[in-house]
Amino acid sequence: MFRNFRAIHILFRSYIKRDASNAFSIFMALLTPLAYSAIFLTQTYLYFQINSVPFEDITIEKFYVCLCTNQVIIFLAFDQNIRALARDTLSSDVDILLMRPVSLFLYKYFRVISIDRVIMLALYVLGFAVALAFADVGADVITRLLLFIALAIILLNSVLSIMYGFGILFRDNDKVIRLKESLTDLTQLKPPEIFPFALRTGLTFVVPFLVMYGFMFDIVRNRDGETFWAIVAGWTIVASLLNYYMWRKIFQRYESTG
Amino acid sequence: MKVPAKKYIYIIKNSFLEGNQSFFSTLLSLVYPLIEISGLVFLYSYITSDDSGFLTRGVVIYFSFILVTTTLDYRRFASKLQSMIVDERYINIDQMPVHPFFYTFCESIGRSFVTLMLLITIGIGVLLFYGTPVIGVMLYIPVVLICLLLSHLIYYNYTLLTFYAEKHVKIWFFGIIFDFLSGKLVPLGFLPMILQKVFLSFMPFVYAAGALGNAFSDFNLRTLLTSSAIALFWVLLLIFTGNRIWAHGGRVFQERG
Repeated sequence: MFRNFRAIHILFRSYIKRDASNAFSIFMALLTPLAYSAIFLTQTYLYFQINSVPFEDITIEKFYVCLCTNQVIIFLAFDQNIRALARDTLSSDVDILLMRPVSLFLYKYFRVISIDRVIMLALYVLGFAVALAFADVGADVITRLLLFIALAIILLNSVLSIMYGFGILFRDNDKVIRLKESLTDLTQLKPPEIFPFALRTGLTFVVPFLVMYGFMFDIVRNRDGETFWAIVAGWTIVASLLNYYMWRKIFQRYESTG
Repeated sequence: MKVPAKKYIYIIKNSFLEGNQSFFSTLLSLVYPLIEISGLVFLYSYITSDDSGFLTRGVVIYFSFILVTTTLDYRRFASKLQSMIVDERYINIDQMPVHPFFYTFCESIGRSFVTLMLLITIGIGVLLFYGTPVIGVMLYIPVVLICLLLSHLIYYNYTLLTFYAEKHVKIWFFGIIFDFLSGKLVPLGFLPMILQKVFLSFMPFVYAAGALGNAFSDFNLRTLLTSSAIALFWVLLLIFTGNRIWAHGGRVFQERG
């Protein structure tokens, strides 16, 4: 256990050292999160310039709360690291990982840590707090949002792991990455009501991308009933179990065939 | 008779075979961009109309044009070029009797050839459906070609900075900046006028997609021709700067070892 944490500490330190190795990399590490955040903030601001009430019952402050929620979920789901683990498994590089003094589970989360990602996450956590202060939402909404964030992180992490798992089984990760990016672009920061009913249903019950990326809009509008939480919790449990059994199968097959 | 373009046709053909090994992969390469862009079409149609679910004419024409101009997977090509530079495999291109930019451009065209043709057909269909004048429909393909060249050149020039800063040149970060400044994330017509006039009109990004998409959605021949001319100017300028960076950067990279 302690050996694992010690290994993670060494990993973390070496990544930060690498990122801070020269002036240009520090500059890029600062510029990246700032520009990235500025674009998202501007984009949202423009929605409200085009139409002063673009979405039902959502103020700009509430939209910013949803934006920060969405980004915190994405950053804490460690997409890049799951992708890297899938790539390593596909190219048989897991042998080297198995020899490291750190569990694959933890390595999956802490494999790539860069300054810009740490700064970006910090910015969105801060943004979340500031937006909440201005959004005029009650303590119950904040509690439900935090619960949603926790469930959505597990769900997103599991969904991505399952998708990359399929990539390994079909020996083609590129198509899976592209599919994930397409579905993310389709649903990210889009309130559910903008989609036609059939598409909305598909994005909720067939692939849960709208659940992870769009459901927070219903929480800030107090539209999250029992069905809402049943869908979120149900998907989280189903996806986590699928993820667990799929990756166990993948590593069993990997170890048996080499 | 010697055909100078033959080698480039050969590159397109080779990349086409590599990128379209099965019907399924070709189908997916068409479906993915359609999924991505439909999110923006639904979003902006919803924002700009009072009736939810209604697709507004301007938004559909604008994004169908954006869809065609962003068909080539620029981030993929840029990442590949970056890893070639870092691993010093770019020397292979340097030693070929081809221009490095046109080599990478033809590769991208070849990989996405079927998708590009289908999306151009869809784009023309959308123009005809919404009653765009014939001259606009005729100019569609040349304008798309200019936009593809310019987008590719912008990524190419940026990626060549890898010669100086190696992996610190972040492709995914630039991709987001490019999408925003070119008008893919927010239609150009919705941006504040002062931002367009003072800032964006002096940069090449808008002429790679948004400015021309705008000219088609709110059809204006004069604006279309002016924007195309400016885009062509940027194409020539960026080919020149690309050549300079390739030559100078390659030398610096080799000297550094």
